[in-house]
Amino acid sequence: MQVLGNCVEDFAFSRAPLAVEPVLARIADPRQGAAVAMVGTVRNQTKGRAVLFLDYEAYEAMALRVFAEIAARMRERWPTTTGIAIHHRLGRLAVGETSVVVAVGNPHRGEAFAACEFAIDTLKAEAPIWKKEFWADGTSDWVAPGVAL
Amino acid sequence: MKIRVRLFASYREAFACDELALEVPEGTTCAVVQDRLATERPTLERWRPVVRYGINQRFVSADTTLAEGDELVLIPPVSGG
Repeated sequence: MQVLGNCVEDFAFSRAPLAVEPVLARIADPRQGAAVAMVGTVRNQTKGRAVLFLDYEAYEAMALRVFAEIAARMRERWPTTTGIAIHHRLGRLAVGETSVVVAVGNPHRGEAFAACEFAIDTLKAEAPIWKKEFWADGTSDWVAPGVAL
Repeated sequence: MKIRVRLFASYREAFACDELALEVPEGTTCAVVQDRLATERPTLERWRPVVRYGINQRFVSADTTLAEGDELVLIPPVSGG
């Protein structure tokens, strides 16, 4: 965790289950009027195909740099942001488990919602993190959004 | 010159290891390394149009030239979140 300007930042990868409250606690700040937490969870199907579980891996050092760059862009665009936390799970996750928690604190909810959406959208597009889907029919493959393979 | 190549996801699976030490000629670009790896492991050919590259943990373009001791990472489509 570090404080940049007036904003607390906390980025982490975890092989243990994620909970929301501890992530929110990392960005607690008396100036905060709203904390928005986006919780990503493992869905039970992809395009109608039953999913058994996912396996996540990351280039952690580079991904942590990407998280910091995302946060820098958030602070520039929403300068009143008081806290930004991104905690991402790795390893094998069952349906329903939490894969990511992105939490953003701000004096006002509008900015917090907007900044949180920006954070998760940019993470999904940029961070070197990969998931492999294992389906009920016994097959599996790497998820490649928007790529026709 | 020597470079390190970090492997993740389908690249890691294709080579059954998470890192390669390669000897490459001066002037070698990221795209040339992808071509070489896909020649050795044809299953990686499917990523050629969409793979991205990082040198020393920073995104770079496909035509970036490598330097001695660089750490290159091949980044197939990401799917975090």
